[in-house]
Order: sequence, then structure tokens, then C-alpha cells
Amino acid sequence: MELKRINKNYYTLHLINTTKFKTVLVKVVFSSKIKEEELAIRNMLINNLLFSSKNYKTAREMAIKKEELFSAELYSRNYRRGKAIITEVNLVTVHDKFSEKGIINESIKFLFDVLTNPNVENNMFDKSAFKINYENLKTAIISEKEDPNFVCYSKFKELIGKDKIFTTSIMGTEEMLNKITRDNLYTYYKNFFKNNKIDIFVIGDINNQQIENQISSCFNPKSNISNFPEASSSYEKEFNEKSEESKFNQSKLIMGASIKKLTNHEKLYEGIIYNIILGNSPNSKLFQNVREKNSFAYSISSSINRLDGMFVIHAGISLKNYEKTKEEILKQIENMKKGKFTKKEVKDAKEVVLSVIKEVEDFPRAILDHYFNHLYLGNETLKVQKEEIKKVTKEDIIKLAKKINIDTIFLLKEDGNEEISN
Amino acid sequence: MKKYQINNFKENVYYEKLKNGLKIYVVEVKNKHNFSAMLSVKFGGCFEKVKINNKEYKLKTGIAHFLEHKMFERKDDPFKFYQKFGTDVNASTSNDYTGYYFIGNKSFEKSLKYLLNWIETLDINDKQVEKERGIILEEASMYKDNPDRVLYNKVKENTFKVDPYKNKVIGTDEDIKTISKDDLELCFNNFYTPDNMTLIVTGNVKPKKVFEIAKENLSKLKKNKNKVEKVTEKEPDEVAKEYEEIRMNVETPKVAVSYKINKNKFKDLNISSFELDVYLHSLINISLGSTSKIREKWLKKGLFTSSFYRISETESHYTIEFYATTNKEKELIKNLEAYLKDLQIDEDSFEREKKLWIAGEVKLVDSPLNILYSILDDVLDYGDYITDKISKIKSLDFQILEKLKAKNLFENEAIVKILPNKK
Repeated sequence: MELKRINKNYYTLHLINTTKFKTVLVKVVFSSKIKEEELAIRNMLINNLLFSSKNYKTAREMAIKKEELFSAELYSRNYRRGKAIITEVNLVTVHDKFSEKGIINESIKFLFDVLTNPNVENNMFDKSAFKINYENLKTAIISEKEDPNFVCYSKFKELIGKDKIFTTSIMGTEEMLNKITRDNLYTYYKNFFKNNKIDIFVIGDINNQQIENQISSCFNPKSNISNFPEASSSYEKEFNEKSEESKFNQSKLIMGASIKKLTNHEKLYEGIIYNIILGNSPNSKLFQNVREKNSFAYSISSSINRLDGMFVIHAGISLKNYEKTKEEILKQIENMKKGKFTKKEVKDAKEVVLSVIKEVEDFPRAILDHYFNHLYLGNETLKVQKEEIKKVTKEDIIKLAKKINIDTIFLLKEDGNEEISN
Repeated sequence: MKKYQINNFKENVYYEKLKNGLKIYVVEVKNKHNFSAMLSVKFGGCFEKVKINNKEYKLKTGIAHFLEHKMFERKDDPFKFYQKFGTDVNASTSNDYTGYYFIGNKSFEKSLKYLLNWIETLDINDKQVEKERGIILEEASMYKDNPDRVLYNKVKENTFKVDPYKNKVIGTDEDIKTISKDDLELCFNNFYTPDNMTLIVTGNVKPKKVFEIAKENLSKLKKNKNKVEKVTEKEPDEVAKEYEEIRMNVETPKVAVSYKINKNKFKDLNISSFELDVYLHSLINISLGSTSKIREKWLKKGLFTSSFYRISETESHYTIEFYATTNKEKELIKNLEAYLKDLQIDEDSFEREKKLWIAGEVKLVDSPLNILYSILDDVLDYGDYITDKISKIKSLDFQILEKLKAKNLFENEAIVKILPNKK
């Protein structure tokens, strides 16, 4: 695998040449500091761009074109990493060797055509496409409320009381959506390239020079942003416990702790191992004690989010088991501080991480995600990661465990009145 | 050990059937770190009435899934064993099979040996069964909050009258509450036998080594001495229930329309099951998928916000199921029913459809896990892995698609709606 980075005037081009895969993946990434007022409109923009374009006027024409290109996949992803918002447009195309000559070039041309020639007339996005995308986004925003995990997590984050940007869905709210018009969406589009840092990644069995020339000839954005925005954030909180009623069949419990006191190294390495031992594997303390031994919960897991600065435990439980589940979780967290886990557990957890690091190289998407995180979000190279993980000791974990104290508990109660039916 | 090239790729599949009936498929994918292996047992949610040595048993719903959970009850815990190598291990139960698998990149040989020995024994007591009941009932309760799953299960239930395909894989609460240690052991002893299993291994592995280990560890397993038969009752063509509304905690209504088609309808086409599958999917995708004119028209009218279809099959029937999230469910169903009388298809679309299938085959080989599932699906659906799909797809004929279209496919209909709770 060979990596080449080229700084163009307004974007950075990253080419990874490898014969490992039968596909070519092109990823265009727009990154900026997250702003509340941009959440819904950012989604609307990217959905409209990928829905239809000046040259492919309808969703149907777009779909036909993609099928002609041997089912080229064109999809976007919009996600938050701490205080940064990252919008990706991805193109996956079958390599010419397995389809027809010229398919890669034709697909790349199509990708940038979609980004630079939107379906706009009289400075307004196409009416019918706008309406469909508006309805889709509205439905997506509304249906998040049908997912008990999402509802519980949002309420939990409100309880922590960080910035509103942190608690609001990445898709925005209905109020934000209602402010978007076909004109102001176009105005937003005109400034979009300018207001984002732009990176383009290409991975596959490619001819570097040819790809570079081709992209230069069809994409000339004028971005003002050359640095990636600062992403990490943290919080501090007095102990707080709260519950709310819901209409769901199962209760959801979230318990969280700030990781502000952890060093950066601990967040990157020891914290990952701690998380696996405590709650992120079927062998974990929480899974074994809360689920297997006591049957308090069907689902229980923990996660550590370095850029948001928090450690969180999620459980799906019956309301009658709430107090017992909570006590058991707190007991397990205390046990970690007392070092009630074995060196073998540390070793096994390290193997899990090492395996994940190793398999990155098997998947084009994983390679690009890793590389992006390394460039902009503070992860180290795969080689350094392997070495640092191997060094973690039991003592390191105990030291870290002592800094983790549950500060927020939120319970979303099941509906006690409704009869459970099949 | 036989070797077949997969399409025109450099990858090959190696196949052998052991004397005790166990089938083994291996695909080596070079340049990968990961490997994956699955031992699948032909025993799933669709097994209800069985005859063992001519004695008939009615199995409780959800028993295959319950057994899957209990297989993890071992002195040397599978999760603990595999975590030593950072390898993922899990199992899943579907209508037709239960699969035990691992995915990793370290200590392959030990991992495979463990998997093969794991499936040989079941060692449980009443207390452990009791404990599992609580966990499974919680799992079932979680599914009741998922409207898509509720809809899917209800469609199966209302489409079929006697075929056990109508049951939920997880089972009913009543059955989960009464499954006993004896029930589980009966199923284990009669279904977890080599002649009822397939081993599939893909990724960073040496085929020779896989066969060596498999023979060493599995040859001692004996074929089932009992005569086990699945008792099938004749499933009528009519659906069990034509219409049902369910109230749930959803914001936007969800609707499903399912059509039940007897497989005998396709006999005169004289095509293989694989070809029939491709034609059927093509017929629906061309006429109703993202490149169809009708979908565009309906989207413009706001007849739905999202939709998808699924084609499933049982031993006797196909079902074509349409799902949509929509505020105009009545209008959508009316339009769909009218359009199904004369689906619009054309030859250009069919040619593009072929490209789509070819691309799918190419992408599969980039992921060992996806090849594994592709082999498993083929073995369950067609009895063997089809290695030359691309050339088969290229030679499909538009005239057959037209013949398929001319058949009256959409006679037996079941509609299920999930509507918001009344406020």
C-alpha cells in the first residue's frame, strides 16, 4: 500500500494505491466547526445534491446512471466528532478489470458533476426534489423518537447539560427544518465549499497521475478553510439522577461519567482496555454479572467517547430490576478501582484491540476512516497504536479506574399500564 | 476435495462432503488478515412438527433460538476462549438454520478446533434453563418496541396458515416460558448431527489445513441413527388473514402488503431456482424500484417517504412483500394494487439489472464474511454453492421475464398496517 498526499490550492488529495481490492472508493470530506443553525440545512443540502442534479434531473435518472456504471454506490454520511461536524460523500465503483473499460473515470466524473452542478433554477433548488427531501428528513427526525435508545440518550445528554449542540440530533429539529427554503438552501450551497475544509481520498488499484488530473479538471472549489476544526470537548457535573415515563415496553437506563481527568494517553489506550473489561464484551464484568449471573438486563454495554469526554453505560431492563441493576453496576465500577480483575483479563482485552487494529487493512472504508482519524482527530498510526496497547498494565487500568465516577443517571421507564402482547 | 473457480476471479472454492454427511466449503482470500468460519445447523424457527422414528412431536416455537442461547453454556466459555485471540464469536438463528461463527485474525487452527468440538455436546441443567428464560423474555420484550420487526412478524403470521414459517423465530412468550431441558436435549440430539450441518470457512486460511482439522475433529461424529423428518402440511394458497391494523408508538404509519405465490406457477418456465430468483427480483426491481417511472410518480405525489420490498420463500410458496412508511397508506395501496395488474418492464432496464447483479458478485469477494453468507444462502436455497453466477446472469433472457410478468402473481394478498396510538 502506497500513500501520496498532494496539496491542491483549495483541497488536499490523498491517494492510496493498492491492488488488494476489486473496487475503488472515492471519499470527499467537508469538515467544519459544528453550528446549531447548520444541522438541518447541512443534511438538506447533501440529501438534495445526491438526489438529483442539473444533468440527472430526477431521482430516477440518477438511479439509471448509477446502474449503468455497474451499480456505482453514491452515499453520504453526516456525523459529529466532538465539536466538529463531518460530511462525507462516498463513491464505490467496481474496478474496470471486473466491469468495462472506463467505468472508474466515468464514475468519478459523475461524482463531481453531482457535487458541482446541482438541480437549481433561478437560484433555487428544484421544487419537487426539495419537497421529497424535506419530507424524508422530517420523517427521519420524527422517527428517532420511536427508538427508545435514542430517546433515552438524548434525555441523558440534556441532564449533563452541555451545549445544546451536543444534545440535538445531528439531523436537527423540525423547527430548524421548517426555516429552510429553496432559496436559502441555494445560498447555503454557494458558501458551502468556502466554509469547509475539503479533503478527497481515493483508494484502490489506480493510476495516481490520471486520477489527480481528472479530479483537477472537474473540481475547483474555493475553500477558505485550511485547518481542521478543534474537536475535543469535555464536561463536569455534580451527581444527578432522574427518571421519566415513556410508552415503550422496556426500560432504558444510562449511567455516565466525565473523563475530564484522564490524560490524553489514557483516553486513547488505557481507557479502551478499561471499557472492554468493564462493559464492552460478552466477558465483561457488567455483561457477566448484570446479565448472565443475575438476569437483570437483556442488554448491557459501555462505551468511551474521547472527543465528547465521557464514559457511558447503557442497559435495557425491566423496571422492577432498576435498583438492583444500578447497585450492581456501581459495585462493578468500585471493583475496578480496587483492582478486582485479573492480568489475564487485561491481556485478553488487549488482544481484542490488537485484532481490531489488524483488520483495518482488510477494508477500504476502514483504511480511510483510520487515516482520517489519524490526520485530524488525534489517533496515532496503526503501528504506534499496536505498540502503545501492548504496553498497558493492570496498574495503569487501576490508576485510570480511580478517576471514573458516575455523575449522571437517567432512567426511561417502561409503560406500566399497557398489557404486553405478542 | 474438489476445486471450483468463483466466476472469472482468482479465488477458488474447495468443497468436500465427509462420510458422515457434513458438507465443507472453503474459500481462501489472499491479502486479507481476517478469516471467518461458520458451522450451520439446519434447524431454525421453521421447525414445528417433526417425526423422530415415526413418532410425531410438536416443537415449541422459539426452541431453536433457545437452544442457540444454551449452546453457550459451557465450562470453557466460548466468549472467553475466543477473546484470548481478540476473535469475535457469536451465533444467530433464522427461519431455516442456526449458525455458530467466529471472525478473527489470530490463531485460526485453535479457533476452528474449538468451534467443531463446541457443537458436539450440550451440557445443561434445569437451573441454567430457568436463567436463560429471563434473558430471552427480555430480548422478546425489546423486539416488541421495534415497529419494523413487529410488522415483519405480523406479515409472516398473516400470510401463512399452517407453514411454521408463520412463527416468530424468537417464539411466543407462552412457549418461551415452558421450554424445558428435555425439549432442548431432544432437539440437540436429533438436529445437531453432521449430516445436518455445513461448515464454511473463508478469508486468510489454507484450504488443505481446514479439511485436515475438520476431518480430524468431525469424522468421529456419527450420522443420526434416528430417522428425523420434518412433517409438512399442505399450505393453501389463500392467506391466513387479509387485513389487520396494529396500534403502536410510531409517529408515521407503516404498511406492508404481502403476496403469496405457489411455486408450481413457475414450473412451465423450465428454469433453475437461481434463475427464477434473479428473474423475480428483476421483475420487481425494474417495475417498482428506483429506476421505475411509477416510483417517481408516487414519490412526487408523496405517496410514501421510504419503501422497500422483500422476496422470501418457503418450501411451497414465494412471498413478495412491499413495505412503506407513509401518511397516505390507503392511496398507496390502491395505486399499488392497480399497478400490479400490469407491471412496466423493458429490455434496457433488464440489461442494467444484469450489471447490478454482476457488481454484487464482484463486491462479495472483497469481504470474506459476505462470501461466507453467500455460500450459506446458496446451500440453503439451492442445495449447493453456485460458482458461475456471472455467466449465468449474462445469459438470462428478457422473453422469460415477460413470460413471468404475464403470470397472475398477485392474487393472494395480506395487508398489515401499523398506525400511531390514538392520542
